[in-house]
Amino acid sequence: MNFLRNQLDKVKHSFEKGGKLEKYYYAYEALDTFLFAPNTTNDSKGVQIRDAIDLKRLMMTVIVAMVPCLLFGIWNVGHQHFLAIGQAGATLGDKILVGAIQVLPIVVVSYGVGLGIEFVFAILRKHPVNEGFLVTGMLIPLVMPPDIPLWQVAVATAFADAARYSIVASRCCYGFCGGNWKGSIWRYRNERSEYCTYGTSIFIFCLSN
Amino acid sequence: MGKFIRLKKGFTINLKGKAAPKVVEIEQPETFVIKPTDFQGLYIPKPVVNVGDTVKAGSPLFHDKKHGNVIYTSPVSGEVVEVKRGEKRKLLEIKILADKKIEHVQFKKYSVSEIANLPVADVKGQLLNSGIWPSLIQRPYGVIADPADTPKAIHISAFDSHPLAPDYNILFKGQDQYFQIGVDVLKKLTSGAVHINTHASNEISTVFSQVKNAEVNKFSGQHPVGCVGVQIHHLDPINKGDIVWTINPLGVIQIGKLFANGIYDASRIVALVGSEVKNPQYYKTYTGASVKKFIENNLNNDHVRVISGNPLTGTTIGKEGYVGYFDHQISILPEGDYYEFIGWITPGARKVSFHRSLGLFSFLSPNKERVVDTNTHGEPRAFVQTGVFEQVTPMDVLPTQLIKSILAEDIDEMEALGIYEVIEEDFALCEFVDVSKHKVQEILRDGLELVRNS
Repeated sequence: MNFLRNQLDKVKHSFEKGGKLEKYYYAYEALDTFLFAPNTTNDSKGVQIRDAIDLKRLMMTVIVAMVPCLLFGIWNVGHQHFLAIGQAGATLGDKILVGAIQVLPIVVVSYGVGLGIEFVFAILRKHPVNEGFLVTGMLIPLVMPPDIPLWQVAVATAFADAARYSIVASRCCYGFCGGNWKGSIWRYRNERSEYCTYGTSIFIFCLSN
Repeated sequence: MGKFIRLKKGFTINLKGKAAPKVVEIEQPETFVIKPTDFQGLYIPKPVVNVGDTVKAGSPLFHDKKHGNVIYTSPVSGEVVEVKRGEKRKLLEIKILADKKIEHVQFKKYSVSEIANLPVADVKGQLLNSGIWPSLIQRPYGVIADPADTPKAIHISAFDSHPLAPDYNILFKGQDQYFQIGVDVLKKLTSGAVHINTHASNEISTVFSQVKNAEVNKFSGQHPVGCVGVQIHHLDPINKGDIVWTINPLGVIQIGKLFANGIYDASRIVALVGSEVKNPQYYKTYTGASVKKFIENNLNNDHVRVISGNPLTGTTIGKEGYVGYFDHQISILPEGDYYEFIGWITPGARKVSFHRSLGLFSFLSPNKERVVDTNTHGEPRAFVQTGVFEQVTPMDVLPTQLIKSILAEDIDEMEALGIYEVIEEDFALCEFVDVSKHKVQEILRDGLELVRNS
């Protein structure tokens, strides 16, 4: 711990005002507060003591509450897969493996794209990286259909996240297309040639508006 | 017949270092200070003394430029050694080097029967000249009471539920006679009743239970049940246009001594408390005492925060500081300026938390006394969680919405949400439990000043 602390303290000056990497300060601060709870103390007026909770712990509590749902979802994807191909005797391990291969990339893409956008906006807008995305990053995979193309996850996450900073972007998209959405982004033809929509896409669209 | 009110909401913080039930008399501090910054609603303090002047206990030190009749007097006799000013010549404190034996300014004495027939103007005049008037705080706004007003009631909270608060039975033991005279005087100032709000489960001192000419009410529940604002809300809520005055029992006793003996007696008992104190106990001293002598050789470690008042509403004063006018305790807590490796997820039953969050188990043992330091445990963020302020506010106000309306400077919304009923100490617990680490008390004071000056 001391080693980590010393390394962080050593590079801190180059991120502070007047340093070379001044504009990346909030990215450094995000890493610093991730590894170490900050050493700030309460002001001389107002409460002198505070509750031990903070937003990171609150978000972790929500994520831990969602983990059983995710685990069941992973197993269920594998279970439905083996039901669909008519292999009833698949083991638990097989089902989880199939589910994980399908679902975990969605989680990774969702967190990766979302946190990337969070960091970019934190650096551009000069404010701390907010912990809100920790929960959104878990919610998005939970509402997506498991066979969704990963690029759609990335686009949906980017819109949901960036729209918090730029309502204009989402309004523009609505304006350009006049509310009339066509093409295979929003629907696809399944094996019986019926049109089906990606319900999640609509959901994310609604979220971003 | 008084009311019995049971409150369900709130959160009592149990900290280590409560004062042992003994009152000790040590060598008195050399210097005493009166700080104009202690008094809310003070427009511009104008000092009437200079460095080198000799004063007696009860001699004027300064008065308010706007309300010139409210005089702020010296707690002790001695020589004025410093008139400290800050930025833009703001008067910060007046320091007095105290005599070994305190001399008092002589005011008029009255017998009990004379008090009953005294005109209200004479009563107010005596209180204004003696320096006891600033003990009367007005609701709404929590500022010094205006002598021109007649309040609809006067409320006295006879117990303190803040963390590490002193026991009022020890603070005011043996002062029954003066308390009664004080209540009789206060009854003349109001058109309604004088309410004395006691704790239901604790043993109530005879000072409060045997008092006549007042309504004695009982309250039970968790903190902030001891806050007078919460008590007023449940007994007789304040509407727009109403004025209620509040006063600490010490103020009532000082009024009693003023009218019975003709002196301003600023003597008080102060509790030195906190986990970093070797011997937490009560000390006899005077208003505005220096804390140096009390904490000398009495601390477990040097890296501490010295607070005048309790850890929720007090002010940091430092090891060379002075106790505030309204404070009955000096709290010593360890400073929390350390980094904690992934502290935002490490579990612990030692950390105090109102929330039942991941890794925080203090809710399983609510009566255990814990050590809490001054770390913020997180950084300021926007409002995220709703509903938690309401769980610790046993009043019919919506604290989150009220704070947001103050930040938006929406006066109509503030009035609708009940800003007239609250002051900082009623919302201190909201600031404690806040996940987003807002300065709730500071925001509330800004809102109160905005409404008061609008």
